Amino acid sequence: MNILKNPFLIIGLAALILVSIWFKNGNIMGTGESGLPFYDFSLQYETVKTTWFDYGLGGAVNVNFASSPTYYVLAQIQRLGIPTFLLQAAFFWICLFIAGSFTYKLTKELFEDIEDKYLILGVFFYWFNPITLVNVWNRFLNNYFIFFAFLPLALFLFIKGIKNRDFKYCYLFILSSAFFSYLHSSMAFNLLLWCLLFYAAFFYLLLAKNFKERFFIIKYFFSFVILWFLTNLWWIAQVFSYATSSTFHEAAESFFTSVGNYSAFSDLSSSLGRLTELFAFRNYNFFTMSDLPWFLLYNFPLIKLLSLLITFLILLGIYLGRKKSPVLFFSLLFFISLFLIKGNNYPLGEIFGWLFLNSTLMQLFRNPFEKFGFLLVLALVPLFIFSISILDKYLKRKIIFWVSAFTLVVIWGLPFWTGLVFTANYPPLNNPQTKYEVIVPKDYKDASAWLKQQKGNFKLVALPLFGEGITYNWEKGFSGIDLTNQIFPVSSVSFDTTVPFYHDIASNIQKVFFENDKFYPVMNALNAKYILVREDINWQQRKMINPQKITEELEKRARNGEFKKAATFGKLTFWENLYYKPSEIYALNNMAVISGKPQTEDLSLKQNTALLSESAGNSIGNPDNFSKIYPRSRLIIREFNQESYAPEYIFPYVSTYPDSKKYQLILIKEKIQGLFITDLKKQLDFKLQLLGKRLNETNKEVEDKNDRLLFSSLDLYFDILSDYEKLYKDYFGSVQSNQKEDIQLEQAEIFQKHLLHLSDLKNSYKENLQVSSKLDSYINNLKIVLAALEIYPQNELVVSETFPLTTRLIYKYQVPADEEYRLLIKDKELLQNFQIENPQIFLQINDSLKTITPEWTKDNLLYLGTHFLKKGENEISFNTFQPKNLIKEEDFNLQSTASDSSKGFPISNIITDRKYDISFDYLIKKGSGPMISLYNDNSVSLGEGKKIPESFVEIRPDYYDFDKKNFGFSTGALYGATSSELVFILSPWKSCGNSLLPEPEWCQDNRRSISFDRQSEISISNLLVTEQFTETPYLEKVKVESSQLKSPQITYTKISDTEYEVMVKNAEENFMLVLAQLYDTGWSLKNENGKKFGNGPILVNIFSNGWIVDKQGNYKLVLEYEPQKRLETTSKISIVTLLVITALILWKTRKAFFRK
Amino acid sequence: MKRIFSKTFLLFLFGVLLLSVLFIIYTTGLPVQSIFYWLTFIYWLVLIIVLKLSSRFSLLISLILFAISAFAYIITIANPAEEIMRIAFIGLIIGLPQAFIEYLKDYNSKSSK
Repeated sequence: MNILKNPFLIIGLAALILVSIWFKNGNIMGTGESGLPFYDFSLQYETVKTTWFDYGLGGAVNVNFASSPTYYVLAQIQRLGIPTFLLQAAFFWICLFIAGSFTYKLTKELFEDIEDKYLILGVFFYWFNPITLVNVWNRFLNNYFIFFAFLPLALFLFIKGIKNRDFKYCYLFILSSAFFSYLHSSMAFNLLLWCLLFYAAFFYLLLAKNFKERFFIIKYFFSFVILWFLTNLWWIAQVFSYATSSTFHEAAESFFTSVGNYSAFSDLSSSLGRLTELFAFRNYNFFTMSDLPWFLLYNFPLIKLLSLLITFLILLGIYLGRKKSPVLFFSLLFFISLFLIKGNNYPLGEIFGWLFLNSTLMQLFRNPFEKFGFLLVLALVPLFIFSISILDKYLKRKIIFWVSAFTLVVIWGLPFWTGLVFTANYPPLNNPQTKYEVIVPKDYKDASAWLKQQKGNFKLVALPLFGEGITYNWEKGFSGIDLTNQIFPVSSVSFDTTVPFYHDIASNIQKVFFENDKFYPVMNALNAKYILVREDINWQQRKMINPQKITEELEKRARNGEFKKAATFGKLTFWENLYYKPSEIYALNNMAVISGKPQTEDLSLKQNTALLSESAGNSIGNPDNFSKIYPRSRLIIREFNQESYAPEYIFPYVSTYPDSKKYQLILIKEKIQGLFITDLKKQLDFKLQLLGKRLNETNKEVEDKNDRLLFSSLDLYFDILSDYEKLYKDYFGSVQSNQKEDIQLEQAEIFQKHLLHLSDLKNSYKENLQVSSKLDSYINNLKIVLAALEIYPQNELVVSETFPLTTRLIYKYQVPADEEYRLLIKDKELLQNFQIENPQIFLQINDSLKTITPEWTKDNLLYLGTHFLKKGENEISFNTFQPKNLIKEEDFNLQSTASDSSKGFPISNIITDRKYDISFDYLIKKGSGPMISLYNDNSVSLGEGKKIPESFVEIRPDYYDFDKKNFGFSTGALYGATSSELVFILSPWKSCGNSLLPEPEWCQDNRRSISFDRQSEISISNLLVTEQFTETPYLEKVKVESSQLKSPQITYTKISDTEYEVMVKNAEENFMLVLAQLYDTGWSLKNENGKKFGNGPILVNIFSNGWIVDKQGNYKLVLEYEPQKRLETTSKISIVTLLVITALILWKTRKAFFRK
Repeated sequence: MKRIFSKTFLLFLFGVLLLSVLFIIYTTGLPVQSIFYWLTFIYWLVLIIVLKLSSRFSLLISLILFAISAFAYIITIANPAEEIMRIAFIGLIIGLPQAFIEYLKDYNSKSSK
């Protein structure tokens, strides 16, 4: 019985029981962003062992580098033959044990007189509470587990050291942080850890009795900071190196937008920051978005009541114990965490919102629930224990203890004891039998062995490819980040992610594979020898293209001699690129500059030619050799669509006019209103509304013939416009590039109406030349502002009967020199979906109009004439080509009386990544309106021939206008599809609710309400499904001067992932040396004496590093990734610090040792 | 007693002013919720300072409001429950730091003795 009195034994045993339940089937578990690290630690270690990782197309290792020692140790243990599931089980046991033991010790340290049984209850609170359930266990990320375990340990050591005035605890903290170095692989956790320790130091500093105590606390805290910094310098230096690298800057510019981040933060705050949910420890989104039974358990009112009762007890404990320092310590921590966890939600959320917008570090906490949840739970445990212990004392009964124990261990513990905590609401993770368990098929081991046999440093391209995530249809499947790079010994382009330059390739490679006649030049530029076709994936769930279509395309290419089937392992097939040339490092003799953003397909433009961006071309003094000029931007101006905007949206209602005495108050009110809008988009919309109001006011001024007030309103309009200009620039610069065109189009349509309104004003003053000319100057000024913002083109658009304004596309080209250029469009599918038979089309080039006859060249390019363009910016515009209707048009009627009726239309010629417009006229004759859905071949099947629709639009009957109406919408919902069907569904008119007022609840029951159903009838005509024109016309120089330089022979030895030795033979001229690893300025090329070539690499072939080598003859060069050298120095500092600290601990504990 | 009455009267006037401001804001379309919580916070703070109330007041009111809100939440009156909980939270925002300040004062006076 004495054994059971040992709290650590109880914690260890409980952890052992949990782990035994979770791993009873002998399988590893995995999901989410962590992938499957427990599959093979050696492969995992390979990706973080140096500062450069060979994953995808390579890349700089950032904060993940902190996981390197853990993977090294685990890889060594795995080599001993210990099964990986046992290692994962041991990892979980350690996390549970450390978390539990130090929760116990921390509470005991601060509340010495509380009985052990209450303290052990605290351990279960820390393990099983619903916040940890969501943030740690169900999330299933390794660094989250470790942070969860380390947090109570860190706080215990920190407080213990302060209380005992002993630096030994500081050294122990440093040693344990080295042991748990994996947790540092999240910057948010590092920041949280230091915020917690700073809070603790500050709290105890305020309680210090005298200067001596205060001085000790300051010394103690800074010892923590300095020693932690030195022992962790090895990875901190790498983080700084990454933060100053080109990759980070490019990523920040391309993918990170503070507006997008703030918007996500606001959304999460409003859903997860509800205090009623937070006080019940509930993640609202998590518990309301699944129909799994154990999720529903948390939605029972009784369970919610028990959770709220726990919070009530905690608040009562705070109230009763507010004169005790430990209670105040945790109460303040609890309150601060709660304030932060709710994000910018009410009340007073504006403080966090302001901090978020104005501090880069705060951007790490976009999901405050996920991050601050750790601190909240840490604060709650001691408060809860304190509360129930004093209440039990007060009541002189143990009732509260037993109710709490039942709630924590049985109710909250249920998903843990059953292992259901490792299930999610989507397949295959929603299967309670398999949970997160994964069995990787043996085929992968066989394929890996085969790949190892193939000599050389080649890469794979895995298809189908779309996005970051993947779902494998294995016996015990996996859903999470793509695993190809984690389970094969060869790196591959197998997923798309927001890594600069890599994303440019990965997001386009499948499109180029289908659309380019030759794919091997692209493969060679990537150093890719094989295409892996994976048929073991759930392609419907991931919106991927059917793998069968990839195989069909490869079979076609095999007949042309481009590829051959090399090996098949179960559902994995490797196709060999028959033109493969090892090309990790190679020399090129020609260079071609591409203005604008080079496309993946350009890699097959010219053989032996390095593609350079315009800036790279300028940096090497070769700006004139332009082979392609892509437009810098595209604007769209289209005929104003009355149905897109309600008139009051553009010209809002005005109740008080400038001639009113209250008008100045209205202007003040508008200013105050503006101050409270923090969201940039909402600010922009608000300014647009004010602009519309000012114009609306002019109507009355014209009626009253009050010119003074008219111009006063227009002056106010331009004052607001100057604010709008600044906001628009900030907003436009901060949104994702794929949203920019929609924003420009929306603003252009609104200002089109503003310009029209000003023109009407001008026309009404025809006879008054002075006013008319002044109005003219206002119109011109507005046009100048709109052109500067690129909402409108610089040149006035030509509009005539023969060249009407339908949908005008305006392309802006930056031309390097006065010269003749050919205008071309590359799209072999263009003829399928657009009518280009018209012999002549109008082109507006800057301010002049031309007619040209489109022609198809032998390379399948659409030639739109040769044009002389002047150096600098040029605008070329034309109306978009007339799209073909992709369905067989048919007018039809639909009727439904007893049940739903539907009519489907197959859509022909779908091109996978395009956008489509759907429009039709409809007349609701009786009852309900139709629902319109798209069912693709890659839509998720529900069985029995049913599928989940990709797009779902419902038209409701109008209560005012009963005439025939037009309806249209755009959709990108056909992604990955190769066939689709547009389906109209009509339901009977449900009149149960209208017939029986107030509506009885049983009206929701179809079986009972069916007797009230009435017939619906609709008529549909002019149904159109058309493709949007997205291809980019480019300019090509008519006279291209290409130099024919002779390239030398290159051989190389790969010393490590960060160092290559390159042998150059017979170099007769300058040449371009290319390293086919992801572009990073950390790479440098040196001669044997260590002298660098150039200032750093230039971006070549969209993603690679290139150097101009201006040396003749035979010689040796060294390519190295410089941060690796820094790592070697910083690692030595960290190791020495760690050794010194270990020696200090031994020295400090020697007395106790000898006493024993 | 006279002093307390005069202060309470001042607070009453302040409350009337606060409600008038809220009314103006509400009718002019300004973000009423945000301003309401800020004004409640200020009002509560003024109440504490003027009437020299201890942390006990704020924490007790918070606890009562919490219980009312929790009850409303359980019987699925979600929106009023959230509003009440937010006011309870404002009480914590004021009450907890106040409790800490009181503790520090008490602690320092004991230490100096």
